This record gives sequence, C-alpha cells and structure tokens, in this order.
Amino acid sequence: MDDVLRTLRISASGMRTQGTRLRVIAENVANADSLPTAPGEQPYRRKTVTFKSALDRATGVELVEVDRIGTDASAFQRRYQPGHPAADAGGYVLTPNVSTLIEMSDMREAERSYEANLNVIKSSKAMLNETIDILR
Amino acid sequence: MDVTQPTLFRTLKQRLAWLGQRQEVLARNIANADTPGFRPSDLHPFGDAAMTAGSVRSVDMVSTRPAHMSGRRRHDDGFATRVDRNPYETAPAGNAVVLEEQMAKLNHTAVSHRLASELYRKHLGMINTATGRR
Repeated sequence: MDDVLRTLRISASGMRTQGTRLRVIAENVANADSLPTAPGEQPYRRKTVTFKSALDRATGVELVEVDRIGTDASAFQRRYQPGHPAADAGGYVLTPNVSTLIEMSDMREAERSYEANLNVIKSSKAMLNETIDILR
Repeated sequence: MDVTQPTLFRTLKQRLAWLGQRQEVLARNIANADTPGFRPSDLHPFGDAAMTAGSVRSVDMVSTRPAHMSGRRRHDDGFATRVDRNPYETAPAGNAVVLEEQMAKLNHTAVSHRLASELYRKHLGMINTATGRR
C-alpha cells in the first residue's frame, strides 16, 4: 500500500513541475512584445525550462523537479520601425525571440503531461478505495 | 478447505502488492515524461517468481557488539524492475516515455487491481458463509 501512496507524491511532483513550465510559458507569451527602450539595449529573451529526476531522501521516492530555468540563446528578430525610440541607425528594432506558435504548442504539451499525472492520481485513488472496500 | 493457509489469499496479496508497485513505477514514468534522457521502466510480468518474492527473507546485518548499531535493510527490494531497452520512440532530448503506452499500462493495472480486490472480497464472503456469519 505504501507504493500506491508514494505514487501520489510522484504524480504531484510531476504536476508541480508542469505548473512551473506553464508559468515560464506565460512569462514568454506575456513578454512577446517587450521591446528595448533605447538603441543598443536588448529586448526580452525567451526562457526555457528543463526537468530532472531527483531522489527524495526522506521517503526514498524518485521525484521529478525543475532542473533549471535557462534562456534561449537564439538570435533576436528585427523589425523595421524607424520611429521607435530603440531603433538603430538603419531604423531596425530588435524584437524578442519568442514565437507564439512554439509557446502554444509547448503549452499544449504541458497541459497533456499535467493531465496524464492527474489521471495517475485518480487511478491510484480508485485503487486505494477498492482496497479499503475490502474492509467493509 | 484450510483457512489457516489460504493459498488464494496469499496469491492475491502478492498480486495486489505487485500491482501497487507497478503503479508506482508507471507514475514515475509519467511524471518524467519531459525529463531529458529518462528511459521508462516496468516490472517483470507477474508469474511464479513474483509469487514467491515475498517469502524469501532478506538478510540483515548482525551486530556483534552491543555498542554497534543494528543494521536493518530499510525496505526489501520488492519485485524486479527492468528498464525498457527498446522504446517505441525516443525524443531528441533522449526521453523515451510514450504517454499513450504508459496510460494503457496504467489502465490495465487499475482493472487488474479491481479484479484482484473483488476476488479477495468474494473469497472472504465464501469463508463468512462457511462459518455461518451471514
């Protein structure tokens, strides 16, 4: 029975990391238009999140947690807008390297993984209830 | 029928323990569905080896002096797990978890658990009938 209870902890850690991932995606989408304010400054740089599997020493359960929140090193996009305060000599403004399409598909993937973890919790709960029902 | 050594109860107990541990393994696979380099694992199929797994006693360390702390293995190894060597597909980051496959296994575990617990209950009812308690 201990195993099934530990399942709940593992799935909860999975849901927590997917929640962090959704938060990072939300930051990216919200800052998709965060432009620099002066020439030579950089716009918002896209953030990425990676996961790792880590042993929880107190319970001996292998949980999943956020490894680190890094930044996307890809090049910024440029937009021709001479009137902008941050435009360079040629009239170009650097815009964030956030692609809304990528963020949306990433969001769907996070949703799907979150749901999968939720289903594991539901299934474990049903199993626990079945075992308790034997007592009746 | 020998009630002191009910083989069916012992088998079902092993089966339920096996299913519980499998649930934990599958939960770990699903929680790590986006962890780079993670490969899913599974238990060996339930068979004769799994049925006798609990009957083998683990060897504990013996303390030879009273001042020594007694060594006890914290928990037994349970049923044997294996890492999936030929995954269906592997993501560019090295993750080999296929969520659909894991969900199918999870549902199979849930149904088997239901079956095992219902059988347990049925058998218990039979013993109750035999002892005339209902």
